[in-house]
Amino acid sequence: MHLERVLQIGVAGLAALATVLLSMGELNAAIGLAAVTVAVASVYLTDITGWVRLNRVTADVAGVAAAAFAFYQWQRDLTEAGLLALVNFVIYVQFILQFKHKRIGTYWLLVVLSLMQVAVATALNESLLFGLLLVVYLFSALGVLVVFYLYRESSRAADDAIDERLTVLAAGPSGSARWPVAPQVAVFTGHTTVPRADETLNRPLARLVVGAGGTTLALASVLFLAIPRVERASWRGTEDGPVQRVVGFSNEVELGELGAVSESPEEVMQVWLKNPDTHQPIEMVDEPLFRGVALTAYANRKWSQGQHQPRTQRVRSRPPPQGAPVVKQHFVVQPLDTNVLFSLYPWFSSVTSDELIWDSRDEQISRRGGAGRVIEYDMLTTGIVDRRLKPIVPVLRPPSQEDIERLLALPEVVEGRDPLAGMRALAEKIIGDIPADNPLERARRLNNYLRDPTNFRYSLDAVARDTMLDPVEDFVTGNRVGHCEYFASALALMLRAVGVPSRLAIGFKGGEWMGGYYQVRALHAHAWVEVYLPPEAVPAGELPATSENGGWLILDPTASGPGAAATSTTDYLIQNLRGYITAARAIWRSYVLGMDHDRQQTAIYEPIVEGVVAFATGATNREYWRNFFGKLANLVSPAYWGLANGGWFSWRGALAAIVIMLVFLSLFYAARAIVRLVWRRARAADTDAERRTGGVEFYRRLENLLAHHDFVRGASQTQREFALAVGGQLAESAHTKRAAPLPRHLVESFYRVRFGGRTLDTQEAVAVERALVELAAVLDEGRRSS
Amino acid sequence: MRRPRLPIVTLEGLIYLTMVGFVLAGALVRHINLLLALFALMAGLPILSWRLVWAMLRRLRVQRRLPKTVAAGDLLMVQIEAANHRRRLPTWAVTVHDQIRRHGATPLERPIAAKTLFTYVPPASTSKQSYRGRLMRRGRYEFGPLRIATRFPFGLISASLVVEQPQTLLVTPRLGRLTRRWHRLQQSSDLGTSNVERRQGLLEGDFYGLREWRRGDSRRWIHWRTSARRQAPMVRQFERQRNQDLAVVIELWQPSRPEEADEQSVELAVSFAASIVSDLCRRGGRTLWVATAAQSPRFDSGPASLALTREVMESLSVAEATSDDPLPDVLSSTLDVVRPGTNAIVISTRSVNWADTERFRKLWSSPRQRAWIGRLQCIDVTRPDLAEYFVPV
Amino acid sequence: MTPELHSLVGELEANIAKVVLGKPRVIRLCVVALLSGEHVLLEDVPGVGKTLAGKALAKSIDAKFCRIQFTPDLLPGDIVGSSVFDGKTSEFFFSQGPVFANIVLADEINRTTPRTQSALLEAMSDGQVSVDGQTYRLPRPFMVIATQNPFEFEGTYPLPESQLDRFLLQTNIGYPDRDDELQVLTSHRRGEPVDSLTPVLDCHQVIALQEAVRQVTIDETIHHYLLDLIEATRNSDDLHVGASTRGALCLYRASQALALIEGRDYVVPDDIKRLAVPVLAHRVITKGYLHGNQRGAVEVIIQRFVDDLPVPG
Repeated sequence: MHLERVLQIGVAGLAALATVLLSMGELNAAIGLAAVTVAVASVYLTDITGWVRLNRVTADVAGVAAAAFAFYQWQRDLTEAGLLALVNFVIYVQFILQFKHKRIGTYWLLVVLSLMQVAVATALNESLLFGLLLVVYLFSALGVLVVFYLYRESSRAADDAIDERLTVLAAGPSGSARWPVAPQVAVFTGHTTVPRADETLNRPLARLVVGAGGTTLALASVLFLAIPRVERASWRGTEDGPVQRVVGFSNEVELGELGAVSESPEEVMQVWLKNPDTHQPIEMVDEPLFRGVALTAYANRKWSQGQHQPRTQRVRSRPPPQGAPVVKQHFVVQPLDTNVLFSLYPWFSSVTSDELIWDSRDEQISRRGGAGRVIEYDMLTTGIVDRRLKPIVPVLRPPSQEDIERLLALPEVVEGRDPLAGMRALAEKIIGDIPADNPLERARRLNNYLRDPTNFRYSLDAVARDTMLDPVEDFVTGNRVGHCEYFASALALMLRAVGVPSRLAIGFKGGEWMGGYYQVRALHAHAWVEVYLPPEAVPAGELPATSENGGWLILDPTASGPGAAATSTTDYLIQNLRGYITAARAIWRSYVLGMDHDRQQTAIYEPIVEGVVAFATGATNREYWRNFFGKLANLVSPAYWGLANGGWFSWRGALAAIVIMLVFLSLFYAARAIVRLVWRRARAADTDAERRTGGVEFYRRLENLLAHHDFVRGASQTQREFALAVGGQLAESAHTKRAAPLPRHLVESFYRVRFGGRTLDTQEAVAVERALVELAAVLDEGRRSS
Repeated sequence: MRRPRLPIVTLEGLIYLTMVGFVLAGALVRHINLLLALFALMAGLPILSWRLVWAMLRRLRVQRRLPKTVAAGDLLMVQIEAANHRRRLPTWAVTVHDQIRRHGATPLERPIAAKTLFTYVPPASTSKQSYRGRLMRRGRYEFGPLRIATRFPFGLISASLVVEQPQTLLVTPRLGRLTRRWHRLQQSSDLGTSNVERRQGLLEGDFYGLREWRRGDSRRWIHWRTSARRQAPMVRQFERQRNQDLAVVIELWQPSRPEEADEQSVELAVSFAASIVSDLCRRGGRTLWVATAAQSPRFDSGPASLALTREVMESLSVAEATSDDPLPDVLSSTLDVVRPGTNAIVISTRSVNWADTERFRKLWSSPRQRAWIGRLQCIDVTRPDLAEYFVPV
Repeated sequence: MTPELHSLVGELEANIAKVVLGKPRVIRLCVVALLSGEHVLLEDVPGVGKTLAGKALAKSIDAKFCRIQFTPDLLPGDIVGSSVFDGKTSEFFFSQGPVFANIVLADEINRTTPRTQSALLEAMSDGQVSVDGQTYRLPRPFMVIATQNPFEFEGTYPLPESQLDRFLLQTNIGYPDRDDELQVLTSHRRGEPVDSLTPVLDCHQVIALQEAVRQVTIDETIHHYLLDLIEATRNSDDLHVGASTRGALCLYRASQALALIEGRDYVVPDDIKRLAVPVLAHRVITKGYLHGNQRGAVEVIIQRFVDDLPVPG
């Protein structure tokens, strides 16, 4: 194929892609479709067959028409930004140009126009797909630019060659009357044809383009993350975009917010569940609920811990009751913006910790401070029996009357209107004739009602709620769609409405089983309900005999949550894919579109600064290095990577393997480079000496010896000439006269070895040695005497 | 010797950078992160270009190969070899620019620019390109320095490297066509002087061969030895030596303020002399002496051969006209060394009057040289009758 | 190579040295040419023993020797021979010329016409002559020892470069020093001494020696040294025409011969160095003509190349 054809196709594709990108934003899809059509048509009609070629006048007229039309559009719809009219104009011009007979400048103009469209499109778009297409555009643009450049250079050279022929014809010697004083020919050039595409567009070029694209992407990422954002400016995509909220763990739950919830794959913690005796990892049949805080007060659409004097104390050793099966939990929690820590309920501890504190009222653990650091801690629990969660766990501290009241509190009735009237009625209806002294049955009935998918639907999407109603009332009576917080709130409030004390528990449900441990991410955040059962309501055998305080019934009214979906779906691949898309979208939202001053500070600048500072201050500190090497050793130990826990694959392990391989690879390359350098140096020195002495050892010694006495052979002097010259000089002095024939003899031996290909026999070797020794002695003597 | 030059942003590069600037401005003014991302993508490109243009030039060696000589106005082909010593990375689209400057050219005469494009040089290999053109004036030309330039891959930034590779090329005078009349004249002058001074003393000329005796042959010519062997009378046959040795003296004189006509006659004289010498050398069989009475006089001689042609061409191509009068000295020193009996031609850009004893004092005062005075042929190239002998092509 | 052969070379040189007094270098070069199976050109003013050297070499070998005195009227047929009509058989038969010998002494070769010169030179290069469409092989060994006067002398036809190339080496003789000259005077009292020389070698031995020369090994580095030298003559500013490939080959063969004469079966850089001037000087062409003695100038130039070129180690 001709190089220009490749260029034509490439430019057309690039132009179409740019317009499609633009149409993804504000413009309608029709113009994108039109652009693709025009691109295909122009390549075929104009470039290949040449049936349609706008001449200059037509193109100019069309251009003016396009300008007029764009102006008209702008006039008609003043609310649209002037930008869009301009963009329309650009697109029209692009269409016209595509149908012209193209010159070098035309191609360049088309590339520039496409780039302009992309720039405008970027201002209007923000979907992840757009971002991906932008990368596609980057690679295609690089390819087209390279082809354009190659075509331009070679076609210019070809044009010059034509010029040269003309000039020579004009100024040729026969055609000029002024000869012999003829003018010089000004142009000298070679190369007369543009090369075929397959001569230049080869595999190395493709590699180069791909490499360039990759490098540009990497450079761009660094640049993008590093460019400082202005403080207090909203950098969240475009200004009028929908508000996003990232689900995760928080100390409060506010209902009724607008907008969809996106799930963040950010890692929160890793949890190992082990048998305390055998240290075998435990994989649960159902999903563990890592409880963080318990919320008791609901007011103004918001769950909180309520009026509360925290009674915190250090976590001391608190052994689990005898006889109950115990599971050991090991947590590694990433930096969070809260001090709250997590554990299966109920928790016990075998050690006393300085870092951990707990609030005795809600049995809530938290750390003393330093939420920005990774923390590791161990907890025991009796909440698991036979790899399943225990539905009822013992109450450790008997609740006071005041506590019971708090667990039964409902929003106040204002001006005779009960905000939850519909819900209350529904709850009454559901429990029907279950007696009040059977709270367990009441709770289960309500829970089943909420979990029935025919009644309620789980969704993370934004739901249009009736803003006049309480969100829970609306969820139960109207729009029966919502996420876990709605389900949990509904159950807790309905239970309270029928006189069953209950509270909202916030934490994480499940996690990704990584073959040894659970990887818990922000998207695993969950809300569920804890129901207080007085001692008499607890069925016999559910609790150990020692717990006479009653029990907590743990209910999860959400039919299908994030975790539930993960386990219920058998199609692992699709599930994974969806996970990746979700993750990519989340990264796109938070680190590209939402990269504002604060995020930049916390996610990029501060870690770097901290790392540097830590290194700078710690480099001289022995403790730092011990820590560092301890961590390193930790990294090396297979347990850290989850290998000892029976898993065969873990992301962290794979990552570590890659990093280690990279390190080894770079070490190998560095070592090889050094060895080569040294080797080359050594060989250069060697070969120089070898070249001079032909690699014959005794002759090298002769030259060295003579050089020591200031006899140096010139480069063009043969060895024999040198020996004769030295011999002549030696013969001049009486002291050295007897050594005069020695150099000559040695050189003859050298010649025999070097050029005759002989090896010296023993006798000759001895003679050579003797001659060398004697020569050295005589030379030394001569020097002393002079 | 390789000197890198500062990289230059091309026109395309400027347009591109302007667009990058606009995108950045848009991103900062409107706080659009995606625009900022686009800016970052776009900003990477010039940096990459800057790295790549140098990568293209690194370990790329170029070499010029010139022909030994070329005649003025003939097609000159200069080969450029580019050797890519890199092990992996090929080279694309590198232009090699060359400069050609005439030695002793006036400052007004701009150097001739030449260039050739290497579209693709695979790694660890060499490729060849050439550029062509015609140099219309004789003389010594200096080539170089070579400049290797590329804008690959995106044409945004242009980097170049200057490689000092001075070389000289001798552009020999353009040869014209000698007319038949000239050849006749040359032959007759050969004949006309053949009996003046023969060295071997054989009036008949040079021995050529034997043939059978015919009636009328002189008995003196019988070759007795062969006749005895063949048992039939054989005679020696003689050949007149027609190839007379020749001395050519060229006077390149011009007034101190030459006009175009003067320059033309100088070129004409050079071209004429070059044509004569190359013609005679092609025929061979004689000894030639060629002396140039120019700004710096030159003498060449030897048996007529290709080597002598080259030598004379070299002298003639760099001969510069002078307003002094070196002719008498040059003529005298030439006549001093030539063999007696050699013919002599003087080609001049003006008429020469041999009777001017003041000017040719040496000539007249040496008895040996005086012998030539009557036989000196002089051709004045300014006279129109030159066209009878010589047609410039 | 057997020691006997080597001792033969020594005897040959000693034999020649009996009459060519004080010229060991010239003798050595002549023997080099003989053992290489090539030809030699001696150039010097008349009367310094060019012919003597040639004759002495010829007489030392038990082979057919012929001397041709070149004159302006010599015909090609006088050298290569001609077809002669035999009256009895009424047929032509080929009568061999003087060139049909093992050693041909071509005296004053530049005094004859180029036609005649080229007849000899063709015989030299091909080892055969062609007369009337018939080809006749020359005997082996075949060697031409040519002498010439410096061509500045009157009455000479200088050999063209192309034909000079046929000679392995060219050398001058030079005046002998006083002692040697005195000895020449005394020895000539008893008649021409060269006539009393007895041969020490026969043709078979010469051929055996020539074969042995080809077996002499040359190290790779010396190849390159040789080629560097040849290339230097081609790239020189002082020379118009550098040495040809034949020149390189000749230097190669001559250095092998020199090594053999000195009792080695391998070539050392010294061999190349010593032979560069005699082997190469007549194969190159200098520039300019007002430089005096042409030959002398060339020798200086070649010697300069040799002195500038680094030798292999």
